[in-house]
Amino acid sequence: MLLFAEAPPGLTLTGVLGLAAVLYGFYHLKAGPGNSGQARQRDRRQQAQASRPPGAQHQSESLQAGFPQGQLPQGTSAAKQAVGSPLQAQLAGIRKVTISAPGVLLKELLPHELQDGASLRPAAARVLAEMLHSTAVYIMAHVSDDIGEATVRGALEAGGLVGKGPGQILPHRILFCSTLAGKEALVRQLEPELHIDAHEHTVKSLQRFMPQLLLISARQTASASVAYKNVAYAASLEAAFHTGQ
Amino acid sequence: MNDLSDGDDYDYDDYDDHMSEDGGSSDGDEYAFDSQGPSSSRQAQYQVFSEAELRERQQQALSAVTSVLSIDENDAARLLRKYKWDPNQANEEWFMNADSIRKEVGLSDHRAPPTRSKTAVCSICFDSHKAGSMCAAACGHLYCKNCWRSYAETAVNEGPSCLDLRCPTVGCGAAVTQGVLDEVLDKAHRTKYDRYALRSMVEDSRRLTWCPSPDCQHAIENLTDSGAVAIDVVCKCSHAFCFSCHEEAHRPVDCATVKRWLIKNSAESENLNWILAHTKQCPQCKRPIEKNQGCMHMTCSQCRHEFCWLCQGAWADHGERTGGFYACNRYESAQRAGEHDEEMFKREQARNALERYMHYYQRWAENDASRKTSRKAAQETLPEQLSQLSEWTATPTSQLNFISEAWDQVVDCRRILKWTYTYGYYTFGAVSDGTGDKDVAKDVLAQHQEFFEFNQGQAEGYLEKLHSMAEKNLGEFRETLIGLTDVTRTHFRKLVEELEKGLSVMLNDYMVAPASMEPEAPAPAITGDLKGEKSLTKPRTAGGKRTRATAKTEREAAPPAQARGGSPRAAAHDRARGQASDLEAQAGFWQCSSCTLANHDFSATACEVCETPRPAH
Amino acid sequence: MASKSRLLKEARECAKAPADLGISLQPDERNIHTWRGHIRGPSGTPFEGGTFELTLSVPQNYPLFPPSVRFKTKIFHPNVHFKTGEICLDILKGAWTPAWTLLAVCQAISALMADPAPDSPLNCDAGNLLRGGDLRGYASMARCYTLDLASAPARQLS
Repeated sequence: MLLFAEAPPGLTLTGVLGLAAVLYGFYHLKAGPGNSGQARQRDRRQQAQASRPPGAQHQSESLQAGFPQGQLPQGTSAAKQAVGSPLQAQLAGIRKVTISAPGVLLKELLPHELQDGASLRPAAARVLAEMLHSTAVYIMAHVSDDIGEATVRGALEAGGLVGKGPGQILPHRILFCSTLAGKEALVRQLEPELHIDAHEHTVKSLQRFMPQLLLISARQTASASVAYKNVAYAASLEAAFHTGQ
Repeated sequence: MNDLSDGDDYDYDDYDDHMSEDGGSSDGDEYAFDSQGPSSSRQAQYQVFSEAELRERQQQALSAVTSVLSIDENDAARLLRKYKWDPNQANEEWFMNADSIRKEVGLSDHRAPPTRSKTAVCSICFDSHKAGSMCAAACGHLYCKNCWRSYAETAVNEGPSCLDLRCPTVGCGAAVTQGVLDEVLDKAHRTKYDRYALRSMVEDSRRLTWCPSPDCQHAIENLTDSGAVAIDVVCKCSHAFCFSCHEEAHRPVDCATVKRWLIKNSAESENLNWILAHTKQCPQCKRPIEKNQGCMHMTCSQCRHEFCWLCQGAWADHGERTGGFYACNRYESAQRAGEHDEEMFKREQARNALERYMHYYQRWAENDASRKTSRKAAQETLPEQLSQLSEWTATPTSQLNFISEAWDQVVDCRRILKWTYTYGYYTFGAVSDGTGDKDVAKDVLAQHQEFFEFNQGQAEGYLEKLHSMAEKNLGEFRETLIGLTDVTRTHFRKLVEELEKGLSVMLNDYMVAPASMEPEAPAPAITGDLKGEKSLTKPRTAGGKRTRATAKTEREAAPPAQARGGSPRAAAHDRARGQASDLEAQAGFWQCSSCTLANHDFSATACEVCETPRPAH
Repeated sequence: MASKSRLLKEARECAKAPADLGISLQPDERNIHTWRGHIRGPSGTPFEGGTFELTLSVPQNYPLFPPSVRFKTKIFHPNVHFKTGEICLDILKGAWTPAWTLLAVCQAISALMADPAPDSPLNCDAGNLLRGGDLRGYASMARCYTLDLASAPARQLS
């Protein structure tokens, strides 16, 4: 892993991960008193739930048409922990989600930008962790070479998102490709109920084949050419999915 | 037989022969042909084979290879199959890279040495056998006879692919030799194998094809070098078809156009065009409605919506103020404002295209039907009629051949005429609606069209005459019939040739003073046989522009036998007349060309009944 | 019956096959015309580490006609239909000769896994990835499925 080959001497892989974990925890400390942890998050969410009106009203408008309301996905033990959470409700009926990381989970959008490093968007990372409780998630990234692949993995790992625990993704479910058409092939192979992407071009190409798509774009409103029934728009992942924070 | 070859461009000796062919006895009829230049004629050389003759032909092809390459017959057959039964190509390729071809076809140079051991395991049944009772192809891979038998039999049952049977050993690919097949195949399978081998020659070769007629077992070989050009051939079973596309013989139209036409006839698109041209949609349920009478107040039979036919607005808004039941102010004002233009235009276009298509299609279909009935008549009732006739008139049936010829001519000409309508439809599309050949300028095309229609009309006229005449009881009209048969044949032949050459060439030829061709006819002025509004601007002889007056009167005069301006047709008429007069003298009467009465008075200068002057001769 | 005696002999041969071949093949106890095979993912390919199960149905006129083979374990490969497991391989169709054995067929399938032929694909997405030159994507997806579906115990997150 080139990233760590360049690290200053004395720093090891575990060291860096540990640091990341601490930073993650610290971030949560800032948000509220007490230690970080899933339980704490859950409690907070439940509190918020009680004091807020039902999730439906808080969804961003553009998503109203998109996600089905109604029952929670069955058979997902993690979901039972967060009954009534808006995100779970939004993902009702969705068994598999694919996410194109650049532009959605990462700040960088294009392959060449990933050469120098990848930075995880914390809010998006939280949404992802939440999603991983109730749906199967596959992450993909269009990179230009091994360096790009390494930076993306590194960023996700630094965010504590990779592993076997709850709220984490298995390492082999992070997919990479070297062409944009290849990314489309990956999505079509996986046949998710929802695909999240930051590239308008990909969304346009896949629109015919996917039940549901979400385009993350700084331009809030849809451009005339991308107005489809099954495509929803949001400025960011966290804007699209309320996690109750 | 009538001989039109002197001074003529085209040599039709043998066209006569196969026109009256009805299962002759000679085998392998060949028609030698004298073509003058690649585009002058599309009459092809071809040969018809029966099954026995086909085997001989195959032997010939095999020997052509075995004698040159010194390989055995089975190997030669495999090689020829690869090169589509072209011995020349096969030999050439062999000499260029024998090794790679050997590998591909499965022939190997060396014979594997016989195995030393007494027993071997057959890797198909996994049993041990005595080596002596096992077989191998040239590669030496041994398998037991039973397994060879099942392998070969399965292959033969699968179909013609059995001809390329290879050694079962993975990666070997050696061809299974004749020796092995002889040993293991039983009689039934052997016969099947041989049948496939014979069939492969016809099916793989580009020059040979089976006669498409269902009960016919003959094959036809194309001896000319022409490629995709439509070639008419006639099998011994008297079925005439196009060699390239196997449809009914269709000169002068090419195979692709024939396909297009046949598809168009059966296609739904014409229905849709009709709907577009003649119907409007109900504004509510969109179903097509055809209005055939009455006022403008329409009620859709399906959805009960009431609307005005003209402007398609709801009827509730209409009434006396909008013009009453037969007119519509709103429609008219909108039309004046130009709102309905595009729709009207499209409708108009569709209607025109449809009408044009119907014009050609009707005539095509009529001629097709007429051909079918004449053919039926010729085959079924004619022999009976002929024998009756020969009894009555005490002439032997051999002398009555001219009648069968006439009928054959009618059948064939109907076919040709039918296809000329197809030709006209596709060639002249650009004149009216832009569907034709876009290379030719519109006004030139219009000129061509007139020319084409004139020639077609002429030919059609003769054909109608011939047909009606052939249908009558023919005792007295022998010479006229012969003459007319001849003339019609010539006309149609010319038409086909010219259309194949292309109309521009045709026009030029027509314009050139055929002084060199017509020693008998007087020095001609350029013929004015066209409706002469647009004058042909390139007069090629000293004669200069022809007189339009003469042109028109000449055209309007009906009898075909009268003299016209210099042209090959005129010469043909002259000759026909010359021959006709000889026959007249023989028969004892002369026939009036206008009313066809048999005049017995040779000294008379005009017909007894209609007083048409007798043509000089 | 010719096929039965040959199949019995093949069964004996398969039992003797060396383990490092990466292929294990045996007939169903009740029906010798149905076989089950396991192929180890060839090393150096994205299928490495996975074990793929196949079912082979042998016709009555074997070995004159080929067996029909399909992948029971799902595999991401251009010449294998992802959902039905159908395999597009010439020796299973036109190029079959009676000299092929079931073991040899499995070896050929193993070779196909290492060397896909993207020009006649049953899995268009896999075919497109390879034809577009996107080996990274192909390997990534193939490995993902190998670890998800062809590795025991199957570990799935909800």
